[in-house]
Amino acid sequence: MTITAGFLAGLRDLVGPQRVYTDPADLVAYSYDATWEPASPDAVVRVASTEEVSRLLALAAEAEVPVHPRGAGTGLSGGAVPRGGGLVLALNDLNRTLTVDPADSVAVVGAGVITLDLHRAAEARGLFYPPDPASLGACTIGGNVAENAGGPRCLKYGVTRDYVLGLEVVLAGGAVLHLGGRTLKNVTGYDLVRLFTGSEGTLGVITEATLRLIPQPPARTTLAALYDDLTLAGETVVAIGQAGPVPAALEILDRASIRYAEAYRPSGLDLAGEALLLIEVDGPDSASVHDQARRLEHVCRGSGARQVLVAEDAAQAGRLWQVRRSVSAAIVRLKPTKISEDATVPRSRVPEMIRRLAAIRAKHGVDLVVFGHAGDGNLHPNIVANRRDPEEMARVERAVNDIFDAALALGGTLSGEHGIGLLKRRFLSRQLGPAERAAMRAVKMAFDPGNILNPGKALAHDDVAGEGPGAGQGLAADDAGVRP
Amino acid sequence: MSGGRGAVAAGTTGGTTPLFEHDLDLCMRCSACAATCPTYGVLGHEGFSPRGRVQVAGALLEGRLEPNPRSLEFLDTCLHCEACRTACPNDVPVTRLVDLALDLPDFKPLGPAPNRAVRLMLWAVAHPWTLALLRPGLWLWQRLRLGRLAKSAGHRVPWLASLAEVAAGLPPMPSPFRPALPARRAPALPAPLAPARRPQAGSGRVAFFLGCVQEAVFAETNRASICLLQAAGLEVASAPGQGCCGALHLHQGRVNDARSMARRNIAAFEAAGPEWVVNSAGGCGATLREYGSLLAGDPEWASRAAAFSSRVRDISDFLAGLPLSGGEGGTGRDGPEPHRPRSTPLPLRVTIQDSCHLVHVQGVRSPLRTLLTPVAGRGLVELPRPDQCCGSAGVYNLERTELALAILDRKMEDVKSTGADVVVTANPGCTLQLRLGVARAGLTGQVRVLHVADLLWESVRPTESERKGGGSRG
Repeated sequence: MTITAGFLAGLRDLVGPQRVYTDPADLVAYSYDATWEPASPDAVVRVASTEEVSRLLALAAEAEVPVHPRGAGTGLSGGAVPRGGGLVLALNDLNRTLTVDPADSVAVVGAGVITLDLHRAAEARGLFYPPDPASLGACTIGGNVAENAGGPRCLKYGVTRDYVLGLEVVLAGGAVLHLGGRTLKNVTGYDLVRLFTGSEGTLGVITEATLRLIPQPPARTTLAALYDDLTLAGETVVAIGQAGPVPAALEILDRASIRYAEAYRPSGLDLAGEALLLIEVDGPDSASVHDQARRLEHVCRGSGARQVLVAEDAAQAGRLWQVRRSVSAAIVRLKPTKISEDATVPRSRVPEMIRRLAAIRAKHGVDLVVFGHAGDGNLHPNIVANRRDPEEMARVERAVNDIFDAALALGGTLSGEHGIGLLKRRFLSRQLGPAERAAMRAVKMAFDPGNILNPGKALAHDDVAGEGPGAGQGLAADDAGVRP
Repeated sequence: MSGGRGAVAAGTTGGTTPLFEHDLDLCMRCSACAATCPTYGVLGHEGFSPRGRVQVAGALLEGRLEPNPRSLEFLDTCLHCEACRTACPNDVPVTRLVDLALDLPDFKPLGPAPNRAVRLMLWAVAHPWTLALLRPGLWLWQRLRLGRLAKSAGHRVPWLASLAEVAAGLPPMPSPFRPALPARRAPALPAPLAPARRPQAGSGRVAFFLGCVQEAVFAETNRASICLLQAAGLEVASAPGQGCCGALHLHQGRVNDARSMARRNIAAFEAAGPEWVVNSAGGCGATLREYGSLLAGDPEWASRAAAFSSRVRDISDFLAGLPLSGGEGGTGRDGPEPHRPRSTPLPLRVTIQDSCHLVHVQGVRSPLRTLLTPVAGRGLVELPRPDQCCGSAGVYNLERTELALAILDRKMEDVKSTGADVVVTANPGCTLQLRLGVARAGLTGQVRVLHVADLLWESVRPTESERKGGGSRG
């Protein structure tokens, strides 16, 4: 359904004309997230309160206009891309609420608050909000909850959903729900907090979250283990998982990642090898941290590490993590288009997944590098290519296809932390059977019978089309599938 | 490397493949830049963020978007502060893409009418004789309180009002009838503190780049810088014939003007033959360091320009790079080698507003901290966003006064949160803008805005110095 002049006039009455945009330049600016398949909306609206969201969604439901909620547009699955047109609902102005309550160890946070600002506010009170997606300096809490974001620290501390105690959510017709609360234990009614967490904006618009905070671990250190064989590094991950202690982060870099990162920004450390494990441990004091580091060093050596470095100070630890942070930038020097997958396998299958990724790289002749959160099986195979080369992109698509098959064959999942969004929805039926998809469809229809909220995201195309009054609207005729 | 509009034009004339494709491909749309962008911070709209500008510029350059007033607004509000470049993991040349898109012919008729205040300024700084008149002219302006008049006429002559706003931050100009300052043509070298000693060959003979606005209205800062160099035991050579660096012209797309200014400066400093060319204006220094690329296509000047650029150092970077003095006192008499002048702590709480083109283009961040830590007797406190632009941005505050003031007011909230007595900057435009901010925030008399060299010299010079004029800064 296209947007009518009357609908736009209603929006302008609601939020003021200066916060409704239809100029082609505005539409370009709200056509993308951190993926590569932009789509233009028909209009963009910025809202500044829950009440505005509520009244807007009532209007949109009545007019059957698709609404694409957007936090900071840093997602990696196309969740905020307005495919099929409609309205982009920019929520970044919902950033005025940020209170940290040490008495209850909770934070009450507006959906538009930037994750790093929450980290800092918590740290100022000696508290800690662990989820640390790579985009934390830009992404919003609302987006983190809607996508159930992760990050390196999730290995020890869990993902976003493990910290969401309560939510304020606006439904498609404008109803405002207050779910959960400020208590750690809460079994009153269905756990809709968990349902909305990770729902990718398809069930309701999250406007505020009550989040659990934990004490800040004051001490930390970093180890680096070098290997002559990538699979040995993978086996170390399994060994660490069994022997403990649990690292705060456990990241793997293959030979190509190390080489590119070192060529891009040399660390000054001798890191030549087939694989590198970067391990961070944290704890209540330096004695605890040193004890953990010593035990982990022992496990690494026992699993075949050629060399283990323990950072002497924070500066050296910083240099080691710089290597990890440089990889993304370094590999796009090779080829500009980066396809970042986050198929995830159970920890015990990490070594096998590494072997299969090597086979996929050889079979399709793609530039596939592995660097990611090995500790939780979220390996992040990345392929770099040139999006202007159709032949290469076809090989990339086949390789990505095989990556999904490999992860699922090993008991894993299509996505560990990026979400299904637009990019992975056509693979959904490989992981979820007809009964599971029907159950999800029923949930979607219960909350959003008109299919106006983020239509076409998260559920496969054919799971939503053809049901409800506004069903299928806003869906592209063909599913683009995996594109850079 | 900053992307002055002119530098872009210079870089794209040769090739046939559009350079922008490569630049665009570098952007992974991660948005690591957003939090560093002052216009996004104030406006909260994606189109005013670096990523938004890159994507809008890409759409324009690829022909997916027609140039129109709104896309012009997104691109033309870019401060060119280069903070996004520092934040970007992939080193996307944001301002180069912005400038490339703004160069599209379809934008020409949409562009704002040339701003009279800007044109007046560009004309005034380019010629020695207008510069010579600037100081007496400003004295007259201050004596006759023309600023008030200009502001009250603001509704009819807005450009004059915006000029008056900025001019309010100027230090009091000395009367031209009591010539306290050396004549303009002879660089303002103060009487040396110590007998001029010729350092050993190659041990660091320096010449000082005075700058146009810096020398015309902040001559005291230049003199403080030169005194510091002399206190460091260095001989400071003069370079007659030097003039404006051309930064403002370059960023306004007047490349040929900028090139001829570059040639004049290169020739002047070649004659002086220093090992280092030291300057005290972060924006000018950035441009001086770009002469190499500005004149890269000029066979006669390319290598001379590159050699010149490689000698340019900011005063704080230069001083912090000197070894600490081993002896007592800071007069430069002790030890044969140049050394960092010794500071005595002042009873001040100090904060630093990094000047954009010093921190993001020249990459000079820690030297200011190194130098000021021993000076700030009541502590050196960091601003929440020390490396975010204050809204001055060359002539931006004259062109986009409303947005520049919104950015400035946000900055002043940050300044208040530090409780600092002194805000230190490293560039004349920033100093003017922040003094305006102090007045707007009602902090006049509580917070001083000083160039790093001014504050350093306060802490270095012999307290019994009877030389007049040194104590009235700020």
